[in-house]
Amino acid sequence: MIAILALASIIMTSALYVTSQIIVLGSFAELEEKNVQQNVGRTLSALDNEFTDLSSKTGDYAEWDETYNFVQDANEEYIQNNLDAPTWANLRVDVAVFVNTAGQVVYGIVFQPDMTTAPLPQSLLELLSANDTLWYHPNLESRITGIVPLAEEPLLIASRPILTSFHEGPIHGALIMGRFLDSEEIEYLSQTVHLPLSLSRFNDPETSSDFYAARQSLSKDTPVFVQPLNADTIAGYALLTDIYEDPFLVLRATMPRDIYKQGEASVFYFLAALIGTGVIFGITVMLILEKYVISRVDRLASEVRNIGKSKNVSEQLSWDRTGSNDELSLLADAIDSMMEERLKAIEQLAAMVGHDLRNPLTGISNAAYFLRMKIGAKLGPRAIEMLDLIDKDIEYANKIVNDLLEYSGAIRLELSESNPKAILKEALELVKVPANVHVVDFTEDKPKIKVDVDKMRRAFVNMMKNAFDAMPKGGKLIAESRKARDKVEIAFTDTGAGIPKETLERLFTPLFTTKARGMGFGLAICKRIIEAHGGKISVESTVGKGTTFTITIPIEPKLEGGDKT
Amino acid sequence: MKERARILVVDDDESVTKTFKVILEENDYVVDTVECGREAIEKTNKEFYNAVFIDIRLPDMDGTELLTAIKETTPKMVKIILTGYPALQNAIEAVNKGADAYVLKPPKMREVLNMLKECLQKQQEEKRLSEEKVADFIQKRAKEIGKGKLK
Repeated sequence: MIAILALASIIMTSALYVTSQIIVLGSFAELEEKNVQQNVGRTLSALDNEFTDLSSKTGDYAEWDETYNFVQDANEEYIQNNLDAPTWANLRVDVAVFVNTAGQVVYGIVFQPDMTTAPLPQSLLELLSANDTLWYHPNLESRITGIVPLAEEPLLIASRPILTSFHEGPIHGALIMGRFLDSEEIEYLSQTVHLPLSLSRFNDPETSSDFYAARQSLSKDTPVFVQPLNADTIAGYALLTDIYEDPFLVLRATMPRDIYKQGEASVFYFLAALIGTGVIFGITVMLILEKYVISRVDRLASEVRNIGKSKNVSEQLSWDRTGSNDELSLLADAIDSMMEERLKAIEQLAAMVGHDLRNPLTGISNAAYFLRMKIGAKLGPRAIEMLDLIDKDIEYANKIVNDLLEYSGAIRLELSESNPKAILKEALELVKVPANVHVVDFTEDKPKIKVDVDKMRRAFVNMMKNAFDAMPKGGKLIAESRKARDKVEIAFTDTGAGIPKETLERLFTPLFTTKARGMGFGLAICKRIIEAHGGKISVESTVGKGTTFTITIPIEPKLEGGDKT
Repeated sequence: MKERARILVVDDDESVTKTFKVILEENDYVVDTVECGREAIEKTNKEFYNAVFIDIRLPDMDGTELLTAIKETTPKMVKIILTGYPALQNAIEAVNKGADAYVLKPPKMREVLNMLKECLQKQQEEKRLSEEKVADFIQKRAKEIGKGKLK
């Protein structure tokens, strides 16, 4: 039973585990992806801010009369006053390029982290001369920002037309400022968005495998891609195009999988709660089953077993069914009625056997009678003895049949009024008291009792016969009666051999006998007769001293209709 | 010589009918035996019997049923039930249904013979009494008629 419950719980829990994995964790995974996309979006905004910042700083210098002049005359003074490394490092500008309207670089400089300056890298110069993407401004409001795909480092640039301080033209060229997207800049962005960021070139053949996977999925149409790196970390990838709108860089933002872990924890707590509830529920069910079903079934089973062991075929369950109408009580009723049916069948069988045995007994008895009548006078003493033996055995066989019928059948009491002394007197007439036994009658003719006199007499006869059998060498049988409240006790005490303890225990069992002859129905029938009257029979014995059988019966049996099975 | 009494034994067990027949014949009765209720009814309709022994359980009916069946046609016949059941209620039922006596199996034949004899004597007495009554009546009437005629 426990095994079945446990198995059911395991199956149920597993099913729920799978379901919750799919449904709950699925939702959490979706939520996580959304969160990653948002973070990637935040990172891209931070990058946008960089462009805005760069563009505004570029604007500060591009719309200035001194710059307006410098791009025309390239005076040394401007360089001296304005283009010193510390100032530009402070502005986080790495590159400044002044281009005139013809596309010629008037002046270009790189501010290095160590506060020194360097000439423009060759690759940038080549790009500037190759086309006008970086410096051509068709009107005063024109602004160019983007990533320039330099071989050394990607370069974020902002380009503004060079105007007067009053934002007036004509345009005298373009000022381009650049910021290298180097590890320092990545670090800066990381701190801004509070996420670890890293960068890989789109066509870097030696990139790591996760970048490689991202690269397969990213395109201009799907600029963001999300994939978990391991159980603890998830990454979002964004595709960055260069200023010529070609795929150039892949930006990766990694973050802890808090949401997913929260989901896992939720599922775990849910299952733990479920298992806990299941265990408590299971224990409760077991306790209830134990109290209302199992213990009662056990009790019923043990009663049925006891009845099985008991030799009393008319025994019924003592199972209390008052007020309860459940299946178990119905079962108890069914068992009782089954036993009643079986008892009836035994009665019928015994009656049939009894009747059928009596026919051959009749034949034997009649034949013996005929022989005795016809040739009795001519027979010798030994032959006569044989005829006597036949008669005696017929009588004995008949008694066995009677006992069988008596024991198997229901006892129906036919009550009439009498008293202990009268019944004993009648019983004494029916037994042959051995010459060496002295019967002492101490019974009283009071109180009047209502009994089935015929059956009670039989019980008395049986008691006395047993006593005589116990005293083969003679002795004394004392019969006495005593009124005890609403009951009468009648005791038969002999001075016989006594009964050993192990025999006492089985004394009232049918078919148990210590006599050489006898079926052992006698005491069992006595017991049934007494019990049918609502009384009981008890025995006390001391080996070597004698035995006392005590019959206790109510003065008036409380039996409905004087009938009991 | 006195006429011998006629007895019918109804039992399906041959050892019962045979031993009854032998013992009863030995005691100077005329004995017929049948095995079932139907045969018993036929037999009693055809012939006269002073007494009948009926087993309480017959193959085709209960002994008490047979009692009821033949009570109508032969009210004077002595009817004795043979029973293997010593219960009181069987005896009561048998007597209520018109049995004159009942015999427990296995029977003590000496007692059965005595009882049979008594029953038959009673029957004879009753017969004689009623015959005497009839004779008295005839005599009386004859006298009355005679007187009448004389008048």
